[in-house]
Amino acid sequence: MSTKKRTLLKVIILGDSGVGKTSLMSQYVNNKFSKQYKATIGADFMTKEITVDDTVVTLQIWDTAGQERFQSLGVSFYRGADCVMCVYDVNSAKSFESLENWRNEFLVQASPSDPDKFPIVVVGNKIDVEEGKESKRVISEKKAKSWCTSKGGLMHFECSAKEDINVTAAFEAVARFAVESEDTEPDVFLPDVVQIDAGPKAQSGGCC
Amino acid sequence: MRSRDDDAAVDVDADVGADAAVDGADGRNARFLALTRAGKPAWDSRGVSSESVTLCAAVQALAANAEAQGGGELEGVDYAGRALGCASTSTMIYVASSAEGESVGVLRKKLKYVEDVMTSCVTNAALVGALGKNSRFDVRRAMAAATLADERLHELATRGLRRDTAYVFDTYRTVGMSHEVRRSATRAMGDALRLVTKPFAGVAFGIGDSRLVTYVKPRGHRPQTISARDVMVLMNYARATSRSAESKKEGEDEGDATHAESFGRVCLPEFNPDGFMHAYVSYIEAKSGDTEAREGDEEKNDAVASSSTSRERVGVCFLTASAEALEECRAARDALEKRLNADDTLTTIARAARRQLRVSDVPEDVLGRYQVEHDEPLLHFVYNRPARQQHVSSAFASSVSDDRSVETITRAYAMMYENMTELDGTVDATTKPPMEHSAQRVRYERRKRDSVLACVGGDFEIYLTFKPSATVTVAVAMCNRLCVWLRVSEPELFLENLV
Ligand SMILES: Nc1nc2c(ncn2[C@@H]2O[C@H](COP(=O)(O)OP(=O)(O)OP(=O)(O)O)[C@@H](O)[C@H]2O)c(=O)[nH]1
Ligand SMILES: [Mg+2]
Repeated sequence: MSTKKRTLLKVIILGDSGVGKTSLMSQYVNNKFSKQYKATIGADFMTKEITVDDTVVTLQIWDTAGQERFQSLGVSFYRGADCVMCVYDVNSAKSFESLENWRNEFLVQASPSDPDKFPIVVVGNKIDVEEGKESKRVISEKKAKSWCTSKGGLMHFECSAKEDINVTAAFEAVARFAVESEDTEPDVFLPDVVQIDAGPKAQSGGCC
Repeated sequence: MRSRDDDAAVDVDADVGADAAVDGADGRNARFLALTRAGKPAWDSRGVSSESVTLCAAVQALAANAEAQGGGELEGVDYAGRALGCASTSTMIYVASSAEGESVGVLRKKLKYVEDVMTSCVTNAALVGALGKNSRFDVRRAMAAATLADERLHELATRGLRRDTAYVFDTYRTVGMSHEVRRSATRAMGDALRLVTKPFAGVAFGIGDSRLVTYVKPRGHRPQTISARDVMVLMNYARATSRSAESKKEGEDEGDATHAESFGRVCLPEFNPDGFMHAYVSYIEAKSGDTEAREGDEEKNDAVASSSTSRERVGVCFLTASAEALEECRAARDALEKRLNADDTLTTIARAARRQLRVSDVPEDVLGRYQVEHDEPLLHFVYNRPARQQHVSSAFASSVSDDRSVETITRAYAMMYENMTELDGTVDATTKPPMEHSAQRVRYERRKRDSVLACVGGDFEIYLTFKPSATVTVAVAMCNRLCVWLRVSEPELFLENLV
């Protein structure tokens, strides 16, 4: 506590329904994975504390609803986010195409001071799914990476919430990214102004 | 937060439910939370933990939900007997939760004071400025840089909002003393204040319970008075200061030679929420031999007298716009102490400040028969004068003077007060002309361990706590007699209006 800096980061996970947002959060925070799908309604929150270099970071993770009819919270909760994780399913072209929308929507609604530099991490999930079974991979890593580059060099990870591949790495990158882009802001903002209406007498420095 | 079967609101409630369980374990404390509109915690009365980080996200989600549904500002939620009150500003959301049956209205009112103290620590300008520029701003950093912010909020949450009637009635408390003595104190304070550059005000108060002895502003200043809320903010600051001074003393084993004093920044939000002033807080001490005075004093069980004070002291505070006025404030303090020690005025004031008005102080011919014949049914009373912004709260009878009872009674008053003032609201809201000032409303509420009688007149309010055995007739009779006496005694009970 003494020497370490403390910070709180608000991380928002966005992406189409079913891409595995909830699964990623639950794997990262609780090391749990469930095959069963339960749509997220509104939003879910979890908190996790980690250390990035010499900073103790509390991650406030917002897992949002991908299904439009469950997006009852609107978008005002985007306010104050420090980082966004945009998730797609490597086996779903549609979910990848939606990334553009999620990103734009976020940047419009949250209107961060410097949208081009705002920390966004792109995550392709479900890389464990084997080809030929119920689905097959349609978004290659190369394709995703080139899209990320075209958006100003977004960070990209391929993960599996199921097999716990790269999940921690993705969230830690999120945290590091946000911490690094954090401290461009003024440190502490406390005005020193004193405004006292001392009345007309004091202005003239009047006697008594 | 883990079950996701229902909608977001239910999710949030589930967390509050878990919270209630925590509450059960650690007592009856209400919990207070201040967060930015981005859902980041600034302060938690239980200390910011990962749990509060999640709770803050949940609150922001609720607020976002209310906003998205076009419901406007989130005011409160009821969950399984536990009320959650919320109040928002342009930058912050304040939350209070309680399992004690307090209404959302009562909780929201308490939050106004949390907001006041928060603003007083960092100013509104800092919050709006920092968060406006950067919604990611971590208010905890501003809090850490503010004078005594933690102490002050802690004091507010653990004592003020739980036991101090000032926060119930929105008026400050005063030390009763003879008119002449108060006048001397006021004059001396006014003269002392002249030694300070850019003076804003001078205040003398009781060390134990922050009741005001006197309040002075330099001539020509506007406004002439100070709002009760700002008085409370200031007294909150003074309490936190003396507390931290005391803890320092223990550590450093400081001798008597140095006076505990502090000079720090404080914002009076009602006066100007955007700027700080400088507050010098110290105490003045009666020089006369105190041992005999002490022995002659029958107040052995006075809850107010702090055990560590072996001398007669009174707190003083000078407010100035000058950051360089510390030396001047010291000089003013010394001058004031010297002057009030020229005769035994200071001893008289300090003794008065140690003493609370007791039911037994009420002259016999006022209550005597009832108190005696009915086994001393009156346990406590509050006499409130909104127009003066002051009230008198008697000492609690020894059977109810423990913290827990005081809290229970204070809560009962808060609920009664809400009911009575709500009534007020409806009277005003009707097209009827303002009711004749003679109009009185009376309410008697029987509770398990005591009963509360509330009476709201045209320009005063009185709240009394009785033993449960007291009949309505006895209660009303005592109330009436007490009212008459209190009205007559006002010159001694209250500070003069300075306008
Ligand atoms: N094979 C495999 N399945 C996964 C993986 N991640 C998630 N799933 C499954 O995909 C389904 C949807 O996962 P969720 O995490 O609930 O999806 P979501 O993005 O939260 O969906 P919404 O809440 O509707 O927005 C579930 O049945 C998961 O078990 C993964 O990495 N591999
Ligand atoms: Mg989900």
